[in-house]
Amino acid sequence: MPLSHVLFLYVIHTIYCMYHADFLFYNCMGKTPYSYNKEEAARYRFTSRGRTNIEKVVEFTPLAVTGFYNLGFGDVTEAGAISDRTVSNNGDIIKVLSTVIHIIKDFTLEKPDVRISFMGSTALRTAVYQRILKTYYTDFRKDFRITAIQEIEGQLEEVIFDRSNSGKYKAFIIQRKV
Amino acid sequence: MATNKKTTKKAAVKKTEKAVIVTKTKAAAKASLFPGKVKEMNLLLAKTTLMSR
Repeated sequence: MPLSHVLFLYVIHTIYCMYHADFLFYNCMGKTPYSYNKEEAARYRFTSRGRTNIEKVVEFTPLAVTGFYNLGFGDVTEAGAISDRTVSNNGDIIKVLSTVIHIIKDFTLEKPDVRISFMGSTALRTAVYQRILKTYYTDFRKDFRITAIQEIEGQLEEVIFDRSNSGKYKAFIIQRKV
Repeated sequence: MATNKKTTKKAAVKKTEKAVIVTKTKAAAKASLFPGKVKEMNLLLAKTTLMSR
């Protein structure tokens, strides 16, 4: 397939995803999650059972700034490698997101003081995360304090997450409310 | 004189603690399944003015 066609399909897919994000992720907070295994103190695995079975990994890694953890989320590929760039299209995005939310809740129940930061593997994915947080802000903020990293006049600053913000955030930081 | 010694000792302890944190963080990043993302996030946080908790 020519590159121009691939790019065209990618753009159409992107617009579709952005436009329908609210519908796609509707009710993901209340959706029954997949059961997950806690491998280590900060690593979880579960299997997405959609069109095919895909093993997923969620990992919390301590960062250089004290109290901060990175949230890593990706697929285990057929070769056994981990990829956070795979577009699974497994037809169960709501259930997958619900599972990730439950895992975050589990991890922060054990470590309530930590701050979890995350961003997409691409600018587009970060924008989708922003959309998800915007959609579920009312639910999320019951349990979590949500902030974001935004570039303001050339400086990167942590700001309170504003669902009406039309600008793009670079990353997100959540912390369980005690 | 005694105060100076105490301050120097305190600074040394702080430096050691910081070095331990850096070593632990580097080890954690290495052991992570997402080392690239961890590195990227560390860089982003280092450049960011964070809100005090």
